[in-house]
Amino acid sequence: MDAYTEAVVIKVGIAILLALGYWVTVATGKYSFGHAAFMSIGAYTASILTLKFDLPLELAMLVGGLAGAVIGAFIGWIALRLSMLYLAIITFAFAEIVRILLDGWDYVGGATGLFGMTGTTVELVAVCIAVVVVYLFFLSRSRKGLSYEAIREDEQAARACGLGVTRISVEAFAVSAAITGVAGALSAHETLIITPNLFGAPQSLLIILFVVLGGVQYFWGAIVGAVVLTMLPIWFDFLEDYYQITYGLMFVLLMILRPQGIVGRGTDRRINLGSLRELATSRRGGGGDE
Amino acid sequence: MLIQQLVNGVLLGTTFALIALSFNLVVGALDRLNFALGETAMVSAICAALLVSQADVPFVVAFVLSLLIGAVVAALTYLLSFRFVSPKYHTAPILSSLGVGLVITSLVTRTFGSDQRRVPTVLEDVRFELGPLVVTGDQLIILVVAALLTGLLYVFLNRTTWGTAIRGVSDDADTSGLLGVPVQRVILLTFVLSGALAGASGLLTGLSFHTVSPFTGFETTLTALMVVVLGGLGNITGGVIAALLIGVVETLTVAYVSATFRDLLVFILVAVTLVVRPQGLFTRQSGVAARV
Repeated sequence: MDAYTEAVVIKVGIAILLALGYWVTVATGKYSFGHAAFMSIGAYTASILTLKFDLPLELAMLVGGLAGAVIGAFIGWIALRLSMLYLAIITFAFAEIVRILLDGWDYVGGATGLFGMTGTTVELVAVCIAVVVVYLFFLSRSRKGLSYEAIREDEQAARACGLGVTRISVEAFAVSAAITGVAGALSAHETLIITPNLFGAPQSLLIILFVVLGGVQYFWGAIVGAVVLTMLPIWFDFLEDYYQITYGLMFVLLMILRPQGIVGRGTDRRINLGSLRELATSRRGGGGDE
Repeated sequence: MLIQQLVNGVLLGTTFALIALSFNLVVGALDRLNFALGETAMVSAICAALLVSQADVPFVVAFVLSLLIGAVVAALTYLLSFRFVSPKYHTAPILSSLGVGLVITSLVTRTFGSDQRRVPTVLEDVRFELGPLVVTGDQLIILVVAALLTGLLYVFLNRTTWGTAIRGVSDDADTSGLLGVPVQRVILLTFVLSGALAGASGLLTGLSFHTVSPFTGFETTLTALMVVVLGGLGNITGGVIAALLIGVVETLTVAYVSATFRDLLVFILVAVTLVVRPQGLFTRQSGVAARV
């Protein structure tokens, strides 16, 4: 494999990891708009460990994932009782706070960031993806996977059936943050240099696009979305300046023709139905008009 | 000094208030957020700035044109990313309006280049000094125009047939439709109004900083989102108060703490508000949907 192919494969692999990680929380119907923050937490934790403490990447990567999980659980515990839109805003605000704090922290280089990380290999990325895919394969067929789906389709009904909705969602959010943290660590050791601005709103948005484009119903939809979105800039290279316009119009067309994403069944099933304002208000104190 | 900063903050807040109003209108009509509104504001501001600085068009004409451009762009956004997208999917219009935003930004940079554009001072010699307080002519224009537009919108929504129709659709689109309100046309009208407001806010923001950049579209959307959430989703009065509050907080942070922490404080404020009062600072307990 020549260097170029290897770089592309690693890039696609990390995108797949990010998409799979994000899918875990989307599986419970919770959309985070700040997943790049967990990426940066994983990336910075692992980079500090490999650069300043000479730990091997494999270990540093796992610690990065753990850091993501702990902070993810904390944020989830605060934010997951909020409704869809407000969850989106608070996770976004969290990501910006992390970015601004890293920007002002001299130990990790501030705005210039850290550099000199190496070591991500195709094999390492492949192993990580394999572990996550096996986990999701069994999750999708387990009782827990079923409870995720129940919460996604109708949270109130799930609660009425005796599911601990908040506990399950927080757990899913933490797992999601852990996978994203590992992906962040791997990407840091591939790109050689990380700055806080790499993990801003555009990166969070890209992760969401992977999953929504691919389709939220099955986890392999996320894989399809990640591969397509990462390869598009390479495939559409000949468009040059018209690339962004094509890209934007593609989303418009896709949402009109297949709002459920590339993979997934049609619209006969209920997915996030209901009014945004009702969604925004009904979770706290049972709402006023019920 | 403090009073001067407060005045500057309120002035910054008035431009936020316009864009927040424009978001809230769409939330009311369709229960959706139009993520291309920031780019709509940007394209209006760029076109108006070019007309004023290069073609010597009077500011008033450019301002009216910015309203028109905003309205047209918002109507196109409605057709592209809302009209034909299945209402069953909450995420679909978010993605497609983000897509429209992307198209707008790259069309603008292709057509006009990616340089920042200058918005020249309108009232050069006007300057009011009230004791230690200084208000420039441009700041006065921003304040008056923003207040005027907000007032006009208020009168339009509360005193005219079409305004009543907008409020009706906002409360309950199905019932309004049964009672003979042309719901689709009312929604289109709402988008046109929100686009015009966004255009005005784009040009006024440009006037207050004297520059317009083609890359600020998404940033504007984010600021507006913070304001809308802080004031309570769909709550028009709350949005205005929250906009002024955020304007003052940002100005005071830049003046007394540091420019890097400008956004940090706003984000913390919004995050804490969401946890403590998720219905927004200025909405009654049960929220908009339940109150109706």
